[in-house]
Amino acid sequence: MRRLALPAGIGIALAVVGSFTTAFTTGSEVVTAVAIAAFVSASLVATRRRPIAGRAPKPAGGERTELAKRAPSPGRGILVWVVAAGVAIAFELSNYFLSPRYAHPTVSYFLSTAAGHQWSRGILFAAWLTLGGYLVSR
Amino acid sequence: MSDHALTIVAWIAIAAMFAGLEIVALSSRRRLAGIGGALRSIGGAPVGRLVLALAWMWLGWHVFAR
Repeated sequence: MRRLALPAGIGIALAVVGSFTTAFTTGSEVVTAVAIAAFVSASLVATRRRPIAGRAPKPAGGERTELAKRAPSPGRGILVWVVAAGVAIAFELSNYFLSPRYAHPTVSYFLSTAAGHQWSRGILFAAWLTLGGYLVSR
Repeated sequence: MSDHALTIVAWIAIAAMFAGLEIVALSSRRRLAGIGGALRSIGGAPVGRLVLALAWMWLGWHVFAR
């Protein structure tokens, strides 16, 4: 719990500061760049601490543990997510290249609209930082 | 129906597809990975981790900075 206090505090502070900024300004670029720098630093630290794949100690007798038997094998059921992401990306790109922009809104359109208010921008910033924290912790 | 409305309906359908997949994953007793499991699988390889990190950075810069 105490381990999470510092990154959570930094994240909340960044989200609050980020909520006061507007896109296409120096302030928004600085806050976003600080968040990205923190993410890169945390990722490098996490990568150093992560055990090297394939070097984990095997259970005695070569038997798979009960936990390992219950866990899904790597890559299992991932194909449907790759296909779904492919559909979303293809639709995003088709909208991006069609005009006018208003008639074919992209994800950016929704996100920009959602980030139009200070409070919603703060929530989106916090959600983005939470996703980053999740990626670092995996 | 205008192009704008049609596109929004299509986006809602895509969002529903993702939500539906997650619900199916939760009820499939681990036969299908959820979105968290999919991210873990992709992030399990160094290249996948790099792709996810770059995607996260691009998203933040695109939405909040530029």
